[in-house]
Amino acid sequence: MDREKVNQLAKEMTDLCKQGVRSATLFAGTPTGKALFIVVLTVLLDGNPGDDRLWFKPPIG
Amino acid sequence: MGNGLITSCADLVRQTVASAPLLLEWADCQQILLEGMADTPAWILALPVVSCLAVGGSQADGIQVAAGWLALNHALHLLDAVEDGDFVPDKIVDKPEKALNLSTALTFVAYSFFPNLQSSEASIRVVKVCSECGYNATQGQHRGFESAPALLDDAINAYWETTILKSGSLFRMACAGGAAAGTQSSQLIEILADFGTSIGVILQVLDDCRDMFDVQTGRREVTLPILLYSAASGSQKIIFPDSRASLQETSVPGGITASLSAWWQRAHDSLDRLEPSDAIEALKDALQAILGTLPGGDNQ
Repeated sequence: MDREKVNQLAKEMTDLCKQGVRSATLFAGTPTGKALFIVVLTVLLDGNPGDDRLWFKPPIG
Repeated sequence: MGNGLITSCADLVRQTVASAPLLLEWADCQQILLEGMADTPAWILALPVVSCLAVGGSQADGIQVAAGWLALNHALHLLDAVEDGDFVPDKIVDKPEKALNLSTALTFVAYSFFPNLQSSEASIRVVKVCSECGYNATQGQHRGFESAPALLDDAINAYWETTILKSGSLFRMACAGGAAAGTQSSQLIEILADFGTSIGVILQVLDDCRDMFDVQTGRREVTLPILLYSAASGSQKIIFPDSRASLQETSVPGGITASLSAWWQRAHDSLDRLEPSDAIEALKDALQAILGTLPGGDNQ
């Protein structure tokens, strides 16, 4: 991916994040949005629950 | 339908790595890669193969790309553990020096799979994709060693740039590499590349949520949850929550979900630009598997 595209995507996501912390309606209403919200909440609160083998840890991170 | 294709492709990738001539000469190197693959979900093992099939390529070529990509991934995993100070000795790799050396070996192993494609032109395309994506991933990792910018907006922007480069590039490599084995169309390769980037970013964001606090070391990473907590608190600087539980009552989970939903949509939009096929269904199943393999996921 060329650097211009990386920079553009990063800026879009930064703006979206800032909107997201102000309004939960950005994702509400779709089944995938709800499922993602549950996953995020679980991972944020529990850290590393359950069987670690279920997780794929990105190689760099 | 898609899950059956994923399972069969993953089995063939495992068999290919287990019988790779170069790896048969060095038991430790083979074992560390096979053990890493045993901990990796089938949909990830199969990702380059299904990407190759999605653009009309052959399963045999996709399997070679998958084997190479997994060797590269594991090489980076070994490096990352040493770089981050997370190295844990085990039976095979009992000291960081060995981890670094095995990482180098696995990088060469990866490139031993790519000449096995049916056409030399396809091999060259795959090597080009993997080299570019690998370079971007290491550049992203390098940026991650820098301190976060002092101003919050700059820090959030830097987080996304680093994450797209670092983790987006690794899965971009899987999907674009698989596609490059199956087609010379730069447009099709780019579509699969964008799909892979989205997958890599989603996995990294979720991993950052998991690793926000390291209970064992007490280390706190400045990643998306912390940055959004700071933003939600109205701060212009980075501040840390007292505990994970204190995030529940904030808009942090919503902010993270909003960004993940956007990446999710980008991944789907990429696939919708391709002709429907069993392989495309399998890639959609792979995307769903992110929810299914995570705690709290319900495969919606």
